Amino acid sequence: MNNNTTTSSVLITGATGFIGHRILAELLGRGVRCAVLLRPAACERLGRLKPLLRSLGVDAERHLADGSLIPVEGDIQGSLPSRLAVPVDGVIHAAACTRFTLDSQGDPLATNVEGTAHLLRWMGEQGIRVLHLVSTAYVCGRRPAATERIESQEPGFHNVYERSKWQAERLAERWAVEGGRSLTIHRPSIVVGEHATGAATKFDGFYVSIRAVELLAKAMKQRGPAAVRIRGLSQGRQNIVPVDYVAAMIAGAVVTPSAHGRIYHLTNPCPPTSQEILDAAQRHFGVEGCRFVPPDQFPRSGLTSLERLVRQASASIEHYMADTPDFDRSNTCELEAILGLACPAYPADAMGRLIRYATSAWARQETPQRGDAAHFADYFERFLPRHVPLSQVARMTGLSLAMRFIIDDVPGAQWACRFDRGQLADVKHGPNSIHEDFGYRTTRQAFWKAVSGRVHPQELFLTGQASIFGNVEKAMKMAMILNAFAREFPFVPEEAA
Amino acid sequence: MKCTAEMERIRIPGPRGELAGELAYSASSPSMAVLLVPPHPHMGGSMDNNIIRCLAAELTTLGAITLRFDYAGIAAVAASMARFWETGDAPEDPLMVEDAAAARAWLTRTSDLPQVIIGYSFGAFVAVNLAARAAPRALVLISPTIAQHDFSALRRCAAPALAIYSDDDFATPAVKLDAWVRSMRPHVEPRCITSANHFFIGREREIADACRPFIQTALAAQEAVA
Repeated sequence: MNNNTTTSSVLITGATGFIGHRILAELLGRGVRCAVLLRPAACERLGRLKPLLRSLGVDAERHLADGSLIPVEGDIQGSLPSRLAVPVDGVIHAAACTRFTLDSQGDPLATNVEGTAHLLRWMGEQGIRVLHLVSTAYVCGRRPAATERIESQEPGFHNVYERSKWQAERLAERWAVEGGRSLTIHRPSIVVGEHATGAATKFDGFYVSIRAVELLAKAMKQRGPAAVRIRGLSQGRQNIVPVDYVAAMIAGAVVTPSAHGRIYHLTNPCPPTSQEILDAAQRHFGVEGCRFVPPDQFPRSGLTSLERLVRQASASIEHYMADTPDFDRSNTCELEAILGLACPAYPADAMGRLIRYATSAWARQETPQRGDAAHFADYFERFLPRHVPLSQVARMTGLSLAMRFIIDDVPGAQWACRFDRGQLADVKHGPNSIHEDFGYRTTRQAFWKAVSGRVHPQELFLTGQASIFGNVEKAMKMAMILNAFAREFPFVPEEAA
Repeated sequence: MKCTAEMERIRIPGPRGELAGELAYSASSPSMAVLLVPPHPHMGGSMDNNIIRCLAAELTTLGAITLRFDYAGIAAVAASMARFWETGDAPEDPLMVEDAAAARAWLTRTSDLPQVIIGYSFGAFVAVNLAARAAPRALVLISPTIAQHDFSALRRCAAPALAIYSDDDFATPAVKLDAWVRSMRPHVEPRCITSANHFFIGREREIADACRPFIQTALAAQEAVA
């Protein structure tokens, strides 16, 4: 992997992403001309990018006017420009899909592997010879220790996301070696909000555990406090790094030719323990009684409903609470010394900032959106009561249960339905007194796909677009019935289709 | 893992009409044929099920031709759904065993290779029934629904069998499954994957990783005897 290439102009993929827009802001601040690859329609995507930059004190209009910010329409999974209007010295590939499970479109493999392959072929055609690849420190998979090298032997992975990023690194390595090109790989660990303020635009990874405690707090409010066992190692560490540090390191490496051609673990040298994070979350939400139980001692059965709630809510990141690799940071330490940067620590107040920012962002999202809330109310409170009696469901006299629906990305969208011998006996909005046998959590988009009959609810669950809490078996069987109902009486709200 | 295998959509003549199916194979000469039997359609079972799809692609790296298929239509009518809701089985269940038999027969006619049958959930029950009629070279049962279905036919099957299951499977309590596996030893080799419930979402490759050495060993042992 060659180095020593001056970079005065770059193309950035994923510029509207959590890390990408910060890298863009850093580079514009350093006087680098930045072309940003935006999926069609580029003007709409630019409309999303401008406020992101504005929040960082960057005037996008000024940079557009002086030509230092250049929108380029293209898609790493589709069509890329046959020729760039303005040549670039290198590409920063920050576009990625961070799903942990495969969806029906083939993501994250489609974006992270096939998209990267497509981009590399295009770069070859364009004669672009410098690549900064934003990967993840967790390409180490299940290895207990990770080096700042590309390991030739594939490790076992926790999920398809880790695998996809490992495969992308291998593709990039081959591209670099075969063509004598420059490849720099940046491997951040778990990226969280800005250190000083907690500001973030994405809330996965670490935030999943915070959400789980928030859910627990809400449940405890209804059901009363209780001791809750959480599967994990209290002294295990969650390697969180602030997005501003990550972006500054990547941008700094881009403009420092001597830093090219290496691999950097943008990780925290002293990450907080799972216990410290749990303590901070419990303090914030006013919860007590949670304790970690090591995985080999965690009970296989007999979990309380609160414990199942936490387990299901944090299932996607559970292994990160028990499995903490040791990241070599030799290259990163050298780069930090060159750039005068250091990864900050996470004492209690810093953790508190992260949690406060996230929870207030979630609360802001929970301000009802008129259109969405009206459609959901329409569905549950008018459409269902009108059509269930006419449907096959009403003939299922053995159907007596209560179920709950929670739409994660629509504030206040939560309904419980009670069936009595096939009849819809009760529908209640919000957290309420109906004790459900099971429930579904999903997004508005997935919900509308299901109730319009376009997608089977079981498929949404099996592809990770919905989750189930409570009695899984009954929930899956009910999904069969819900699908039959949706095909018999599809519901398509005007705006939500 | 990005699948580099060839994929071929096919139609299989079945007792209730044509079955949709897909063959997967790598460019090199195959050494075995694998039939993948999906879960119950009422529980999201189809050839596009996450585990079935993963195994279809992954096992081609072992040199397998894999066949996955859909059962013929199952009635989304109140009577069928009501019975399934209450009992966990549907009137069409015996017919689905015959659908799977038709798929197996198609695979046998298409490729004269050592055959492996892999069934997931209800598909494990179907697989055992197929294996009892004519033993494959190896049998893999993923999340076998022993609390729901009768797996006694397994005792009549001479093929080496691997049972892959999770310790928190709602379909079958861990204690019951442990006892069943113990009662079947040494006939059935158990492999427990912890905390994957019944669906193994995001952990499909762990199943593939468990299948590979078992299948390789089973086929190699039989070749050595031959």
